Amino acid sequence: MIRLARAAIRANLDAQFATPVNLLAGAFGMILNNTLMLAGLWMMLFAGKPQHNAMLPYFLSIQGVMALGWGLVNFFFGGFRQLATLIEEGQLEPLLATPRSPLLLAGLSRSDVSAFGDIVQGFLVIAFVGWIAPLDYVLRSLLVALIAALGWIGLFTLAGATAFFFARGSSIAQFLIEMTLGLSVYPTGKMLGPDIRWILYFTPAVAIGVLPMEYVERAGISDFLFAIAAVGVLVAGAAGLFKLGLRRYQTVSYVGPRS
Amino acid sequence: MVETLKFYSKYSFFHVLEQFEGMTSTLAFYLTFPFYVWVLTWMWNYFNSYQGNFSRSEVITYVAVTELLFFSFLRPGRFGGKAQSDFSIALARPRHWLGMTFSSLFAQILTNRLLYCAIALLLIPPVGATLRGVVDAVGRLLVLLPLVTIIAVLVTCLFVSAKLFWEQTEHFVLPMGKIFLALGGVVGPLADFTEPWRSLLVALPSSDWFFQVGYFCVKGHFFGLTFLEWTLRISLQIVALFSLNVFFYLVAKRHHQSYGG
Repeated sequence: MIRLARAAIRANLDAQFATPVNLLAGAFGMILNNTLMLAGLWMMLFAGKPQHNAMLPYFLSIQGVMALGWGLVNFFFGGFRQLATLIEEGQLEPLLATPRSPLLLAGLSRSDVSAFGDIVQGFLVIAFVGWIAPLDYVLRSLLVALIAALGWIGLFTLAGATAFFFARGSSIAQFLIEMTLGLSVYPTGKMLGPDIRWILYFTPAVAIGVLPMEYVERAGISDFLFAIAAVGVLVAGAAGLFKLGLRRYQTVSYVGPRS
Repeated sequence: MVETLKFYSKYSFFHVLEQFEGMTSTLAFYLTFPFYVWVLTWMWNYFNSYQGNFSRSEVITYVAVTELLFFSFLRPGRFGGKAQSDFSIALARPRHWLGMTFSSLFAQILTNRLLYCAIALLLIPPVGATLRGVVDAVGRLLVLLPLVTIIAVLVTCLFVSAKLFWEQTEHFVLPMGKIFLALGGVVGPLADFTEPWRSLLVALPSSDWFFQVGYFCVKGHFFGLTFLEWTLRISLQIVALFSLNVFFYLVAKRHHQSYGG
């Protein structure tokens, strides 16, 4: 499995670096995209508002963590995000004919060139946090970015697996991903009122953004364990749903119309 | 001239009907609209409500208007994909590619925005805005919609043309969109920014297309501008964008023909 992953990643990287103009344009475009968003949000939320300065490290850290986690998954395992489309378009069929895990093969099948920009930008933002926060805050942010990356894989798998059960699974998948992105990229863990914050715990954002960022802030062992447990539940649940859907998909008769 | 207008009208109407073709597949996507309004309003509430420029209901309505405009802004893949693939054939047709692209994009984007207006009337009041406020805002938006839609069409057209002679243009669609999302007042009203950023951003054209429109819909007047001044600014921007479109089209055509089609 590891050899397969290494070979697939190397093949994807070779393909990306074979067109350096495309790679550079994609990376630069994404860095520009994220920087403009960061600059705009900083102007809107923090510029000239010293009462919010205490929240700046948290805000920057969450931007960096999300960018880095998202970038790692989409650059090296870009197929996960396209899982619903792969299933709808019948591109899962060839992957079922191999002795390997179809989910892993699907994940390794694509690489998003612009995600390289997310990786670079994520690193730069987390490094910048080092100017305004202690070093251990930065190190926890880097660790949490890896946890967030696992969380994104779990979310993409969960969202993609809906294509096994619903006719328009790709649009449901897109909604789930957009919703989680919105709840994770913005500091919802802090800004939602206590009467409504509980909603987050019923969304994948709790595993990707909320609990991991609580570990970054508080540095408690229990916070770290909660973050790991949440991501574990998300990934396990997503893998289970995919397996269930795949069994259903494989047992459908080809003679009649597919439900 | 009459025949030409009849042709473009029918062509536009065809693309209006196309918008309803894949409705069920985009239904889930439409639900992201009230969701983002809800999240962004919470963010405004936490960071900017103390300034007192807007009530919570007003901000919900404001963000609904700007998000409604932004959801159909600069989506060349979604709205302009067919125009790109038709470029070669269009060069052999008696109808101008720019005219056909403009009329189809205008129809698609306007219809899409009208659909979002209907969704706003249904789904934004439950998020926390008053129904009266949303109805007033949508009514005011309908007055401005044709002009701002022309802007959206011209910007989308630019990217469609640019992609014809440089494939990597698609990587700059997202950052271009972020200029408007973060700096044009989509995520939150520019009136809540502090100086010097507020003056700087309000002076940019991006604020005319989103912030000023949202502010007008909520407050009934523009921020620091009269209606005539805003209309003049938009008209000049339309002329500039149209000129750019012609230039980009000519470059794309020369590149396409010298490339061999």
